[in-house]
This record gives sequence, structure tokens and C-alpha cells, in this order.
Amino acid sequence: MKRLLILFLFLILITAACSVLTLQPANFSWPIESVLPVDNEGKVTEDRYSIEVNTVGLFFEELQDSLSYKGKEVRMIRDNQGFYFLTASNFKNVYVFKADEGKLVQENKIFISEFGLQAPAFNQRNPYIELIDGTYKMNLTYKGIEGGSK
Amino acid sequence: MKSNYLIKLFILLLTFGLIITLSAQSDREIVDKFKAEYAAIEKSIKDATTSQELNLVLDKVTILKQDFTQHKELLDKSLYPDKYDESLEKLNKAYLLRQGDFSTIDVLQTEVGELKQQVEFLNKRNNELLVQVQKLEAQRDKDAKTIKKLENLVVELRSSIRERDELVLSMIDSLMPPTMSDKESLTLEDKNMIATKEQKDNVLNNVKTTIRDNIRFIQATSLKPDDLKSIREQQKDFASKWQKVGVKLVEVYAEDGKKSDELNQIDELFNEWAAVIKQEAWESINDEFSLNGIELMSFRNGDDFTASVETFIGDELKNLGLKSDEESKRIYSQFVDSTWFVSIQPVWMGYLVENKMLTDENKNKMESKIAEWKYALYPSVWWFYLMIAAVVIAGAAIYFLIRKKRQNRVSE
Repeated sequence: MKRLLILFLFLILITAACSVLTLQPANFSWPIESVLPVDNEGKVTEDRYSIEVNTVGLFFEELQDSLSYKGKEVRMIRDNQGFYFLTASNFKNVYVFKADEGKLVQENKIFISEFGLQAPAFNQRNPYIELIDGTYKMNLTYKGIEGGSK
Repeated sequence: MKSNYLIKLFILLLTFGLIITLSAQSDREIVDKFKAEYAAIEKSIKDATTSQELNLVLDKVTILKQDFTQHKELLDKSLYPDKYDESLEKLNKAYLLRQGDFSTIDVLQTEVGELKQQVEFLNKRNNELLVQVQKLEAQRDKDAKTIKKLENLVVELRSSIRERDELVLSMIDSLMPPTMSDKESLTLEDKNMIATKEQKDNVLNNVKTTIRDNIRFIQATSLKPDDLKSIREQQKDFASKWQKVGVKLVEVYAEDGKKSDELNQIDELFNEWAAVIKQEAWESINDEFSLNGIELMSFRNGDDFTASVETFIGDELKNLGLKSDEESKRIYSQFVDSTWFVSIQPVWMGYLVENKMLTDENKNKMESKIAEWKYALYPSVWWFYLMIAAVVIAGAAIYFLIRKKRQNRVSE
């Protein structure tokens, strides 16, 4: 019994020593979406939030064409949890990414429309990201669609 | 029938309402619209060329507020670095600042209008005075009364010209406020702000009239060094002011295609003014001699003046013996006693040397020529006095010698 108690205390000490400092709550949301033109190399740059990301992979994934990014605009917004939502005109999906070391890693790919979005736009509606396209609108989280009309 | 109409209207309103409800609006669109309208108002404020145009902007600001107050929260979050209220505050400040510009310009334009009237009056008056002075100057035989009248007129004319010059300078100041004159170049908007139709034909002409009148005044009168000094200062002031704003004034007020001509014309007038001031000293000196009946060869600089004096004295020296002694001495007296030592040396010499119009060498040359002339007319008789002194001393010595001998004999 005594040994068990010592082991228990030892485990508590180890756990306390290994715990990571966490600051919370944190809100990463952008108040409005950014509409970012894609440059010749496929990069988009958001000056206000100091983000630069290569979107060639995104366009290839969506349109199966590695040069389809040319002359396009990407719509990007970040939700309060820190996930990035990206889409563009004629995309059928909204892509959700999370930030990693020097890259954005896909968290989810939310299917929206078989015909593709005509004029998509994101609005910040904490805790959701509202996606609108003409008269359509729906709420998204990084997990997928949260109700809304279509 | 009436109920059908009401049903149709109801359906129409319902459809419209549904469309509004259904058609979702992007926040980004709202923010972009606000930014675009804001930028348009900012531009209108900047581009406004009259206070009436500026007043219209105020309505646009009010409409902007009405349209976007409902989105204040979104705009506060989205606008960066200023928030919604700060952005509108900035717009108001820009409006007030611009309004201030127009108020200043209105005040300056009123000032210019008043100055313009005064300048016109003085232009007319100066012209009349100049004509009178020229008439009196042209009279060959001037009695004391005429000379006095002429002197008074010259004083009046000088002060009137000076007054007008100062008014023209104030006018230039008013037309080209320091904020504009300090700029390296004027924008179209600056030019529009400065230029008004009524001044267009006036300002450059006033500058030219001012310079021309000063030139005419100097040419019509015979001036003393003190007057010339003050006129020279005045000319320098005017020229430096013109150098500072002249190009910009011409840019604004001269007609297209004539700008460079106008600038050259005014620059030439300034050069002429400076040259006339310089020349006036020589002409006044010549007048001093003429007044005493001495006609020198004309001169325009220190070397010419020296040569002219030397030639005159040289001729007089050559004529000694040909002319009567009395006549030669009269001319000497007119030249040296009445002119040289009365006005040239005490009045003009300092001015000429100070302004580097005459060198010390020239001055010494003339003085030694005058001394030579004096010696020729009034030869020195120092040897005669020396002989008398020697005779007196010798006489006294002989007298004391004889007296001493007599005293010795008596004592023996």
C-alpha cells in the first residue's frame, strides 16, 4: 500500500513537470475575409496578417490543373480556433487548413456544390465561418457544414 | 378590382423582402464599399477648388455616416489602422483644414482686391508726378522757386513710388502665401487655388509697372548718394522677393506659351533697374559739374570718370596762357572749390569707393591732377619767403655783431 502511494505521488510529480504552458482562451479570427490575387508563381500574400502561402497545390487539388491558378483570386479567412478557410470561384469545396511549421496542412475539405461556387465570400460569424454565394449561405466549422440553407 | 391590386402589391413586397433576406451580403463587400466611398470623399476634399465645391462634400460625409453606422462594429474590426470613428474624424479634419485654406484664400483675395485699388491709384498719381518732375527738370533756367518746387515734387514722388512698391510686394505676398512660395513646384490644384480671373491681367503688369516707374523716376531725377543707397536696397529687396516667387507667379498668371517671354521681360527690367541705379550715380555727378558750368566728357564708370577729369584738367593746363589768367582761375574755382570740394569729395567719393565704382588709384590720380592744376595756377613762392627770412636773419646778426663791438669799445 505504501509502495502504491509512493508510486502515485511520483507519477503526479512527473506529470506536473511535463505539462506544457498553455495560454487560453485565444481568438485567432480575422474580422473579414481577405481576397488575395494569386501571383505568377502561385503565391498569395496577406500583408495585414503577414501571411504568404503557395496555392499551386490547392488549385491542382481542386481543378486537377497545375496552371489553373493564373489570374485567380483566393478567398481566405481564419476562424477563432485558428483554422484557415480557403476557396475560390468555380471551386466545389472549401478547404480547411491548420498552421504548421512553415506550411498549411489540410484539416478538412468541405464539399459545397457540384456546380462550383459562383461568387463565394466568407464572413466571420463566431464561432462559425459563414460561406455565402449569391443567395446561398451556410455556416462552416473546421469539421464541416453546420446547418444553413442551400 | 381594388382587392386584386392590393394582393399583387403584397406579393411584390413579400418577394422583394424575401430577396433582400435571402441575398446575403459579404462583410468584405461592405468594408470595400466603405473604403471606396471614403477614398472618393477624401479625393473630393483634396480636389475642391472653391468653397462651394467643398460644401457639397459635407453632404457626402453625412450620407456616408448614415449608410455605414449600422456596420460600425464590423468596420471597427476591419478597418486598419484607424477604426470607424477615427476614420470619420480624419475626414472631418481634412474637410476643416481645406475649409481653412479657402478662408485664408478668401481673406488674401480681399486683401489683394484692396491693394489693387490702392496700387492703381498710386500708379496714376506717380505718373502725374513723374510728368511734372520731367517738365521741371527740362527747364534750362531754374529759379529758386522752381528748384524748391522740384525738390518737393521729387520727395513726394519718391515716397509715393516707395508706397506703391510696398503695396505690390504685399500683393505678391498675398497672392503667393508662404506655404505656396516654399514649395518647390506648384501642383495644378495649387495653381487653381492661387489664380483668380481678376488678378490674371494684373499682378505681372503691376510688377512691370513698378519696375518701369522706378526706372523712370531715377532717370527723371538727380539723386544724392543717400537716396541711391535706399533705392539700391529697395531694388535688392524687390529682386530677392521676385527671385523667390517670380517663377511661380508667372507659372500661374502668365498665359500659356508666353510664360518664358514674361519671365525674360521681367528679368530684363530688373537688370535695367539695377543698371540705371548704377548709372544714376555717374549722371548725378555729371549734373553736379554741369550745374557749375563744367562740361565733362560723358562717363559711365570709374575709369571713364577719371579719364574725363584728367582730360578736362589737361586741357585747362594746355590753355594756360592762351586764356586770361582770370578766366583760368574762375574755371579752376568752379571745378575745385565749388564742385570737387563741395559735393564730389565729401558727398560722392565715399559712395563710389564703397560700392566699388571707383578705385583708390583712380581717386589718387584725380587728386594729383587737381594738385598739379593748382600749382600751375598758383605757383608756390616758398623761395621768396626763404630769401626774406635769410635777409632778416642776416640783418639781425649784423646788428647784434655791431652792437657787441661798440659795447666792447666803451668798456675798454
